[in-house]
Amino acid sequence: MATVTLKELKKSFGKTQVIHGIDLEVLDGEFIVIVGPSGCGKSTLLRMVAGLETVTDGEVQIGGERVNDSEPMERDIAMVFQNYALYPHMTVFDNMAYGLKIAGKPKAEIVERVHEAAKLLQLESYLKRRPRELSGGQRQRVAMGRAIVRKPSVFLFDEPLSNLDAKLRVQMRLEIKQLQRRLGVTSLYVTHDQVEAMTLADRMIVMNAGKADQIGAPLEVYANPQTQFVAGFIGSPPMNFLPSEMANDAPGGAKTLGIRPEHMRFARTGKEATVIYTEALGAETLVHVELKQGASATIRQNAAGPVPSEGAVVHLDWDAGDRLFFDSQGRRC
Amino acid sequence: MSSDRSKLAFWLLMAPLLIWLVTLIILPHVGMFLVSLREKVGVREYETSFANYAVFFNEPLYWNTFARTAYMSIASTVLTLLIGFPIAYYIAKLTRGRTKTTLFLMCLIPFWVSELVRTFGWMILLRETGVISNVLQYLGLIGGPVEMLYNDAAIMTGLVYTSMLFMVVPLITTLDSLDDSLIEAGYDLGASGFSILREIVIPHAMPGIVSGCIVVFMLSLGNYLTPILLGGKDSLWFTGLIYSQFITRFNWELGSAFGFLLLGLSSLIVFVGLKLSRQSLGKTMAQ
Ligand SMILES: Nc1ncnc2c1ncn2[C@@H]1O[C@H](COP(=O)(O)OP(=O)(O)OP(=O)(O)O)[C@@H](O)[C@H]1O
Ligand SMILES: [Mg+2]
Repeated sequence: MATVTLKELKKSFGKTQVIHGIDLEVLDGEFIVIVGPSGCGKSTLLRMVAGLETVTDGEVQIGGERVNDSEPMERDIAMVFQNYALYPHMTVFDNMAYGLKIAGKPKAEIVERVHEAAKLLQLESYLKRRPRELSGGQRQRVAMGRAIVRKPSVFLFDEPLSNLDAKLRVQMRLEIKQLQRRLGVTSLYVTHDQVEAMTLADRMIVMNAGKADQIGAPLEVYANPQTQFVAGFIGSPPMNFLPSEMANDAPGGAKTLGIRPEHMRFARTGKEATVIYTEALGAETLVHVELKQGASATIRQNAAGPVPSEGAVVHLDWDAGDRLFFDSQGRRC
Repeated sequence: MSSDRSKLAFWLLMAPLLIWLVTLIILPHVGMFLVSLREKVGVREYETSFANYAVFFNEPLYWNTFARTAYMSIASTVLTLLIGFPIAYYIAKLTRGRTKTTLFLMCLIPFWVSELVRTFGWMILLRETGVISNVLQYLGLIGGPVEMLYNDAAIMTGLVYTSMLFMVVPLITTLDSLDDSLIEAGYDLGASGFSILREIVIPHAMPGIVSGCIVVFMLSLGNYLTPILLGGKDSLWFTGLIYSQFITRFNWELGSAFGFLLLGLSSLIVFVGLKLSRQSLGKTMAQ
């Protein structure tokens, strides 16, 4: 168990800077999710913590110690890779035991620890198989098992679920969360899936082009996004952005007005809009409309409510308290 | 009906390959085998016997040459592997994009000229009045001209140079397919560079190593030009013996027997090599 601290962490590949100074304090046992769109530098950040990528500037601390120049093995971390990185020529047992063998642990201890982890992950009956004889979910578990047996003080996950189908992803998400709770190991988890981030994280970092736009608890980030980027990235369907002139009490400097789809409702009076199309998802219905001012918006409605037909003219309303204002830089104001 | 049709299509598609195999590989070998079994007992009189094979085993020069060809070929294969592996690793894993293509092409360039010219290039470098000898004299490192041709080292250099590409290409192909994350996971699990090489990279590259070794070994064993030109008269290369039996002495019977022995030898060594590396031919070829 350990804390992880990043101080003004920066990374450049040649002349292009991809991480622009990130500060983060991860508490002991905390589950931190790093989320952001493709190419924003999530993997690079994680790999700097893992020691697979050099640090250009700033500092990485694990357990209070500076590890910028330590080898991956000296950092007491275990990484789970996106493609699992299992060794095809080794059995499941050997894959899981590899790290312990390298560390020169006694054979009896290796066997015991691998079996313990296999039991935890329901892999006991697969120990003699090779990775290619396993399903995607089982491979995923082996990759986790390989990390668990080493009893590291920090787990690092780089999009570990992105190769699984949607249903399995939900199941494995739950398993990872339970496992982390049970083991209490500090974890950094990279994903581009905001639902994964919301459900797994104790706190999440929303990254945008190499910067941490916001760090906070999922619901806090959802309810109180600090930038327009965060507001648009977290939440599905995304927040509606309208010109701030649509509110007559917008604060000075405000350019954009943001309202979540679930905070918009149909009313007798209010902003006029035309229904473009509707999506009935079962429990809820998404109504996509175009406002007179040219902006478009989505309204999330309980399926029990009336659904306007396509092409109908409707009126939209919302509570003043649900509005968020952003300035021309995309910052909250 | 349709199964008959698809069978016909299958045989028609296979026909060129079969014709090629039968007329150019199987027929000559059957013919050669029959010739090798003929013993000349008088003018145009032949008897069927293994006498030609007996000649081989009774003449030390022949089987010495035979053994020497075998171990020199094995040595050149090992040497090619030792030199080719780091090159292939560098090209496959440590470079990308343009650099990779360029380096790969540089490996190919020597093969744009014929083997004769390539070997001749080595002769220009290595002979007594050659480039290396002159440069060393100019630098004052040696007193008089040195002859670097016509020895085993020269043959080895030529063989390794000639077959390098056939080692590097399959190695690059297999190493390319080794995901970087497997190596990174190794470091993450605490392995040293050496154990990663031994336990992760080499097992993964094994099919490439084996197929490269088979090709290089066969090429070295069957090479005629390089050993003769760089090794001189006394190069004692088995293909040289076969050539002289067929062409110089018109002893087709003995030449055929030698040819068959060479075929047997190469098959045997490849078989043993596959067994030792615990690879199957099918697995290697599927690569
Ligand atoms: N080895 C490298 N050399 C040069 N540029 C790189 C290298 N690795 C990553 N980059 C660049 O750094 C940026 C961030 O890459 P990174 O892999 O961290 O993104 P990511 O957020 O993990 O994206 P994804 O969700 O697609 O995995 C990208 O613009 C990428 O092109
Ligand atoms: Mg990534």
